[in-house]
Amino acid sequence: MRTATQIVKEILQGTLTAQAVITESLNIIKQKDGQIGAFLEVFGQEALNKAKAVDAKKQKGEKLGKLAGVPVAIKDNLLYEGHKVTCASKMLEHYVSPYTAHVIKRLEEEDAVIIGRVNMDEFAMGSSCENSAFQITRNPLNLNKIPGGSSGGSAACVAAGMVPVALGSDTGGSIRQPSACCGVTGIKPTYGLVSRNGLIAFASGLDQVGPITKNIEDNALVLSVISGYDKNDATSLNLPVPDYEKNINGDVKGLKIGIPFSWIEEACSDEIKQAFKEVTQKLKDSGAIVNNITLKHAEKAVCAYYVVAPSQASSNLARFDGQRYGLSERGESADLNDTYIKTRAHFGHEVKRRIMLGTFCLSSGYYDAYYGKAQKVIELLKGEFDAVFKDTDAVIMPAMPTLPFNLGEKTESPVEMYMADIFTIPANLAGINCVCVPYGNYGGLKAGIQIHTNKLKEQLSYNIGRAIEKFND
Amino acid sequence: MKTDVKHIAKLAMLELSGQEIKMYEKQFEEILNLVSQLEQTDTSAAGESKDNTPLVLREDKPVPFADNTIFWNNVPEKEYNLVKVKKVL
Repeated sequence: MRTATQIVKEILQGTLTAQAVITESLNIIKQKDGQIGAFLEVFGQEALNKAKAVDAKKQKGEKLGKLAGVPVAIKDNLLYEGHKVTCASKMLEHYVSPYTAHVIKRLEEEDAVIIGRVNMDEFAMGSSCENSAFQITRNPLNLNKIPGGSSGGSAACVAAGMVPVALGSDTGGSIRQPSACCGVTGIKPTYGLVSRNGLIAFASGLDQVGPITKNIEDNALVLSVISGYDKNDATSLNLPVPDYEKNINGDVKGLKIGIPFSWIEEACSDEIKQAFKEVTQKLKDSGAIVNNITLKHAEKAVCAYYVVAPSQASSNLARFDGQRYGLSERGESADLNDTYIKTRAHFGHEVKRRIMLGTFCLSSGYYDAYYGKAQKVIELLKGEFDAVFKDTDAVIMPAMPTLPFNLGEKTESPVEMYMADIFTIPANLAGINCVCVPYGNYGGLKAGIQIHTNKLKEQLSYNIGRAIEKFND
Repeated sequence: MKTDVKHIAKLAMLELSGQEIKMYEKQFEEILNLVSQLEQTDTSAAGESKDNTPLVLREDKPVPFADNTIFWNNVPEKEYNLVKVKKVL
């Protein structure tokens, strides 16, 4: 499958039609998805009709959008009017979106074609996509391995070449960790850069939507389209959005890059350590100034996250009460509470675990010790990044401490699963942006390298990401 | 520390099977053990936790929907154009 940038270029030149692109994408999905299991639903005929409309626009000589004819898969927690949106949960199995998410509106305004909705961990809670109530998704690089999570379907369908672009959402690493597992490129944008309107909330203070693509250039192109102010998201930043894709140079000469070497040494597997040695050397060879840094509060981020994110989730998920929408178990009893309790029993194990963890942390007598304390640690973590960015342009860390593990390997131990996110969580808590790019080849798998830069410095992250991408050539 | 999973489940309006209670008791211990590292973190340098960004909310103005059929189709039980729930009082 061509990249998004190539598709748009060829459609504009008139050497390719949107219908041919969508037909190709649908064919690849048909061939490969039986084995991978990325898609929950494919909008086949509808996508072909949309492609036809793009081709008609071109024939009439009308101006085409920045993503003309590009097939895009959407994580199944983004609303798309008239289509099911399930969050991979029994609770929303038959729920139909009453409106369209801001990010999807933006994609369609630029003539992208939404081709289907893809699998995820239920309500975006998980690191392996194994918490989906509907199906397992396999890693296209190795079918026995996890595709990562929670945006596992998004990363897998891009890695398998079914689509060039998928949208994911990232609350504690849910775009970057699956990108690392599947060897593709993903970004967690600065908090507030991309509207959350129409994204089903998990932890509202941390959630961000972002693209997963084959390379940096496509990623930048899609981010330019979905970013920007939206009056329907109170946390949306009212700032102009640059065309990120126009200024990617891959030049790291003179840039100061901080790497927490001792943390990596302590927490990572041999392959990841090796990848870091090589990337560090190549950055130096390219003229970057690499320094050792210490992030003592970031090392505690996973602890603070598993207080704050479940707390916000327990509040956000209280709305699933079986009264107004979604699954409803009325039961025999006349008691209203009976409906609540029986309905909510259909949440999966991980979701129940987090709702209860959040309920516990927010309960009387525990709030200060857990939520209050976690908020203080987060404040210190933000200060730590602010201090680092005073004299450092970027912080580089692995996305995962190991290569992707086997399906089923960690389903019994939530803590082991949570530890897969130790390096991705700090960016969410700090509200900064972070790009993940694949590096190396370890028996067909890749290491994910994360580039963190300060708030709204996405362009800089992309430039460094491009440099690391070229190290693979 | 053994957490009272049954009590928390009640607060969270969740019905758990006996097997689930057992599983969560064990897992809560592991998770709270991880989270307890926060206790050992010196946070004396942190000010009283507050969000500095002023959150500006838009005016709470009802806007008519062109077609609210989808909303109604998502309602589990309805009667006379109203959402039907069990007796509250």
